[in-house]
Amino acid sequence: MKLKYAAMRFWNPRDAQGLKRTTVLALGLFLAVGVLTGVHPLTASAAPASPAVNQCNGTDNVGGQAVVCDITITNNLNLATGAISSTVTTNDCHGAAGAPPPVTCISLTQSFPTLTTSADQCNGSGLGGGSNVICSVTILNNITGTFTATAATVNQCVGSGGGGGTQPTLNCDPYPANTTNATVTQCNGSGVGGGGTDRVTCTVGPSTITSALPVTVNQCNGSGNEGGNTVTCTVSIRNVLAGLAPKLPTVSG
Amino acid sequence: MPESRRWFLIAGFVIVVTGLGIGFTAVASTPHAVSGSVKPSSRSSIAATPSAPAGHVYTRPDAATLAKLPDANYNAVISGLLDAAGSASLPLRSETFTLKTELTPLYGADRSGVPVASLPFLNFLGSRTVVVPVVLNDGGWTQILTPSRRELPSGSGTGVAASQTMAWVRTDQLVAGAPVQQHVLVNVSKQSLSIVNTADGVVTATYSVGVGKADTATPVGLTYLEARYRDPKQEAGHQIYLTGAHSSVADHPFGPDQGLVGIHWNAVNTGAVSHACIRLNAAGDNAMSKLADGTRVLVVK
Repeated sequence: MKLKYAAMRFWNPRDAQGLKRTTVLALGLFLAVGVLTGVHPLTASAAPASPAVNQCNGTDNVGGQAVVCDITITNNLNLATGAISSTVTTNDCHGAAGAPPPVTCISLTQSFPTLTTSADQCNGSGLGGGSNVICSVTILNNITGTFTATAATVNQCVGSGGGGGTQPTLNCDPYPANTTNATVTQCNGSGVGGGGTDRVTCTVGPSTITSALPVTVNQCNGSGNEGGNTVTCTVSIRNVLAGLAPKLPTVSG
Repeated sequence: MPESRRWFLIAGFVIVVTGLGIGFTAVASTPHAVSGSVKPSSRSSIAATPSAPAGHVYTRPDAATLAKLPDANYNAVISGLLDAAGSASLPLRSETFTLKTELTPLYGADRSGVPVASLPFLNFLGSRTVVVPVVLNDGGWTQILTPSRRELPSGSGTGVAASQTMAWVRTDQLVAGAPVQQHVLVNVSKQSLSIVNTADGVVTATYSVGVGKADTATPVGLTYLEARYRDPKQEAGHQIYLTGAHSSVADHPFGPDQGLVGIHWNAVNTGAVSHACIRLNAAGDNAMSKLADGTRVLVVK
């Protein structure tokens, strides 16, 4: 099981087929947007220095398909002792497009003796017409020790939602958001190809970042680029003081 | 034809035509009356609560207002929430959502009024709050199941309180999550729990369960898997699948919290043995572990 997950983390065979068909279109388009706008380019395919989670990249590009994926990362860091660990839960869902899409999922939860500091998913995916890309990342960093958290920086919805359709085609929060080398880079060069109102809905919920445990999220870039596609992607990153265990509900038994 | 009789016929024709016109105008101006009298659907009965008036422009409350609202968590009692009893008769939906902002205002029957509570972006575990819709996008509003109680059984006047609550939220405050394809069907009298494919109704597995005792009965109706956690102090550390339901007949049937109905393993897992919870054997526990938060749980008598 661990071997399977390790493979998924660094090279997902499912991604290969889609990337063959879409690399030129997806990355070319996004790089072009990046050059024109100053956005830092897609980094999902770059080898990260620290452990990363990669899934749902370059998939479901036939048309009328849905890719619904989410990643939940819990990091534990003790600044005094250096003790680290992380738990990663992934949901990897695929199926036909719809409202909601009828997908089937593979769920996986694993623990690691390392921090997981990067999440890359749903890039260059859903490139056939009428597809749905629905992806989310939730990161919780439990930190023991003194740290300072500031608002996470965001680069999203740049060069997206073009190609026609009734405005607004973008429903992004925050927007505009074009910080270079941001904590969260998502939904850039996506939803280009016409289609419905609000077809690119991307949000970054209340999120923080700390230099004690920097993380990055790259998702939903260069995705959903055909007519009638939708891209819905969200991110949440929290840094909290460890040891403040939540009060667990007492059920009636 | 005598002139007087001709005028009588003309007057009668005018009266009839005028009456028909008035009647048609009245019907055309009250479309709800037509749909309600001809084909009352279960959905319309749920949506029959007063809604936002036509032309009402929604304004999101400011941060200060939101911060003053009660937090609709599992341990709150918020009278403005709605009784979700009628939602059990609606077709089960498969959508799940999460929230867009730190605090999302919840509205009761009067959607044009002030919010009655707020729902936080993250739940008590620090995980993203999962939202389960009952009525989707009715004029920009979605009705969702909520984690809190609306009243205590002892304060209801009848000794029976709503086990599951719901509220209205603005649809644009929701973010689409992974849909769920299966639901849980608990039959209290048969003391069974089944996993059902929602689309076609096919039962994929059934397990025997323990249910509530006579005086702490497991409440019936629609609820959902709100969160899951392990607590060494409860159920020997087995996973607890917390639902949004609360005991409808006892304020605190066990422990200090609000009569929370969980689904969980217990060594005594057959018969009417619990304080409202649904007790699983090992096989049932394993099956439940494969279901996502947001999965609907339908409890029937």
